[in-house]
Amino acid sequence: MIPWMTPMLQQLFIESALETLMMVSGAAVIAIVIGLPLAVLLHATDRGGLAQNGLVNRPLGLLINAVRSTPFIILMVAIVPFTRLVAGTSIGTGAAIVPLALASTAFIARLFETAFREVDRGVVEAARAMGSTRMQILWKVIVPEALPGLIAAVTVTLVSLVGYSAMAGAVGGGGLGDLGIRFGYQRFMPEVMASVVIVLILFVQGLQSFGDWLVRRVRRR
Amino acid sequence: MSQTTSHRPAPAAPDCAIRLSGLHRRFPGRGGVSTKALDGVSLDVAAGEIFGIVGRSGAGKSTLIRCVNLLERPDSGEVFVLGEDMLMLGDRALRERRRGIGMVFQHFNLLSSRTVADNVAYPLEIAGIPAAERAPRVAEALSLVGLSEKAGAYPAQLSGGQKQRVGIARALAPRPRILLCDEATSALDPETTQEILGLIKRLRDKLDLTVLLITHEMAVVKEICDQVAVMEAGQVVEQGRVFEVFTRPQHPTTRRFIADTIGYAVPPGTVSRLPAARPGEERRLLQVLFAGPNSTRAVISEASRRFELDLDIISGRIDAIGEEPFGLMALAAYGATAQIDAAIAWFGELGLTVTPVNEGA
Ligand SMILES: Nc1ncnc2c1ncn2[C@@H]1O[C@H](COP(=O)(O)OP(=O)(O)OP(=O)(O)O)[C@@H](O)[C@H]1O
Ligand SMILES: [Mg+2]
Repeated sequence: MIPWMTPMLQQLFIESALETLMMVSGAAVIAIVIGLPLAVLLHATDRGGLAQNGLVNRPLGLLINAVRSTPFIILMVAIVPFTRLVAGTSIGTGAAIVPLALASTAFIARLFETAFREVDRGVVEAARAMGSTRMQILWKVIVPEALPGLIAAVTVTLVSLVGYSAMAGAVGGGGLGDLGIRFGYQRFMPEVMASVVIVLILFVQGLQSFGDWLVRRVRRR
Repeated sequence: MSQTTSHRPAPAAPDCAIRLSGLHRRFPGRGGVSTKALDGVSLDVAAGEIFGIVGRSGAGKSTLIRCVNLLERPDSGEVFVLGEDMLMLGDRALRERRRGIGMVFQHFNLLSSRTVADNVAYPLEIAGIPAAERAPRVAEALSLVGLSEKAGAYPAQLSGGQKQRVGIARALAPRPRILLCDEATSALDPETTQEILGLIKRLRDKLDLTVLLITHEMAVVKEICDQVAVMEAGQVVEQGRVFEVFTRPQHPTTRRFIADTIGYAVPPGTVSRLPAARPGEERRLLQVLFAGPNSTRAVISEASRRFELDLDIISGRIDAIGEEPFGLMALAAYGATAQIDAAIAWFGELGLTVTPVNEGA
């Protein structure tokens, strides 16, 4: 596959790539599943929202900001007890998914909320005038109208997860980033480093292009 | 109700579709200063009527129309729609009633993610009408507005006028008895505006709708309304039959609106070619609006004799509101200031409306 690497290195490379893929997709799935309801809650309880409620909105906003403003490497170490509780262990690829999911949930919740906020208020008003329930406004108006923004948010989150996952090596999460550090940097094998970087660049480019294409497809504007 | 409101003998409306009375609505503003968006508004809209509300930006028109379906709740006052006290309804009943009140918006407010047909289907969908029944009703609504061939298009692929047609089809799909239009033509060019107004009028006739329509253009009122209310600073300052209000406006705001719409500025150069006033006398340009049987020529020559004035007709034309014609004339009056004032008062007694002519042009 990659001629300038020994078969053993190639094997390692493929394993690392799979680990990256696992960490990124696992964290992303969790982030979307938890982040979407959080964003709905944030948006609905906001001023002028469907169920305005400062007592829910403000603490939730603060919590999300707190997670988002903690540097990932610190977050990862700080929540080790929690990781152990959830994953049963604090090291390995599975364990690395926990802090990745936490960070990207906070990240994507904000992005989703922004996408909701960009939905034309007039359209929501029209839905109200037609006698929609709040749930109908949410699921038949706000979410479909925000769909291009939601997809863009997922793309951005996936891309930044690729970056964060490189730090997961610190807790034995493995992955391409970790491979690059261990072989490319510590064992001074520039060809491994270069391969890692190139594969990551291609991966991110592919994600971004796919995301953009999807946004264009669903955007009817 | 304010003292400035001029009461006209409105025809008693037993079958009143919308009755608003004593509506007040304040919005908190910056620095503790609140805006009185509605300051005691009362209106009766008779069934089958097209009722226009005209006023400048910020007069409270949108707040008023939004009180009809309670998108905005008044601080005090009463809202009756089709005989029902809207303010007494619970959430569920209110949503039900809203389905019987169509609303059309200035910026169309269509769902960009849905096709034209799916936009029109939306109100039927949320009312729980099964898909099989929705399709023929969507088709019917689209054919009412002449857009059947655009059923599969997305709003972004339509012109403004077409988008508004979709907005109207969507409002009418649940077969409402009442249609609310908030500046429905304000985002459209004059030609498209005519088209949409014509459509609203035809649909009113065909579907026996009651239409409450908001606009900042008196031309729209003149085009399709039966009744009009003029709003200023949260109050209705004048209301009545459109022809009456147009030909005998009482409130200065109404006069200004009308002057902007049907009045004309004297063509450029005309004023400079008029002879100057003699010493001790005045030259004043007047616009005279007359409706009804008075022969203007007779009135003008009589005024000339009675008040010792020279009256020059600069221009004149006949216009109409609905089917009713009225005349409009620009005069140059030469004479003593007191005599000119007296002549204006006399014209007023005869039922002619006299306003100053805009000399700026
Ligand atoms: N939600 C709101 N919050 C605060 N102030 C408001 C709100 N809605 C309306 N107002 C104020 O109430 C007044 C009347 O507003 P309204 O929108 O009814 O006017 P309008 O006659 O419809 O004007 P326009 O022709 O510009 O649409 C304005 O001074 C406006 O700033
Ligand atoms: Mg308005």
